[in-house]
Amino acid sequence: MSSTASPEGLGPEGDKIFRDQLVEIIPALRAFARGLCGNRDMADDMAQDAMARAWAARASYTPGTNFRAWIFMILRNHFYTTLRKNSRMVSWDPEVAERVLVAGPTQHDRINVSDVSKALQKLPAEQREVLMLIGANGVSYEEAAEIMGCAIGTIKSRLARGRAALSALIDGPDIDREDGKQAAARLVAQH
Amino acid sequence: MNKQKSEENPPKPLRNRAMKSQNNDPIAAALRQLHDDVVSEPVPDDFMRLLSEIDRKIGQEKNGA
Repeated sequence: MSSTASPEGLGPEGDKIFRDQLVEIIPALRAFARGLCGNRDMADDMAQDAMARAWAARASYTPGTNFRAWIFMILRNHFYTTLRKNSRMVSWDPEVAERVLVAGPTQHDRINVSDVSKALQKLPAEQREVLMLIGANGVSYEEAAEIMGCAIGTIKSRLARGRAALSALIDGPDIDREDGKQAAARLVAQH
Repeated sequence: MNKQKSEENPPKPLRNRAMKSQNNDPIAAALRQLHDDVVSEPVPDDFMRLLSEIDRKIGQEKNGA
């Protein structure tokens, strides 16, 4: 390796700032990864990989821009690459989904985190992702669109479908015949 | 299927905020709880190891400059 100023870095000062941003984002990054993967160990591996990748690519981050969106993007890209390679992580299985559903309606006022977590894993990854970003992490439509690299309209429809599917998995189908859009809007409004 | 997109939204009464207290969405609450649970966990040692590796590199960079 050459001993001249590292072209892959941001200089000692910039690197230090970048490092501090990494530290700060760890909890949120872990939470996002947990929602995507379901499994704690796999999620933490994924989050660490994302951090290592972010560090290696730090020169491509523009200081002052949205760091969370930038590193979440790295994480989700890594997740989808892994998902494609790894058949064990295949998510959408209608039969499994049906089984969760048969488990019966839960109490309406309170839902176990573990139930939601399990149900999330039955959803298509893209719906799961948008539910985690907006419903759990509390990012805006705009930021979610940036992270997922798609239009805001796509985010909204994925959120609505995801919210409806989650509701169907947990409570059974058409519990209150609520429009998915309304429910999705509430996910946002409650933050 | 869903062709009605843009023009179909009736003017909404204020915000959805009123729903917040009245209509507490249990799924929204559970999603947030899922997030909060992870966030409140102590950060595993592996992450700290990664950070000290980064710190080491920053240190080298400083000394080598």
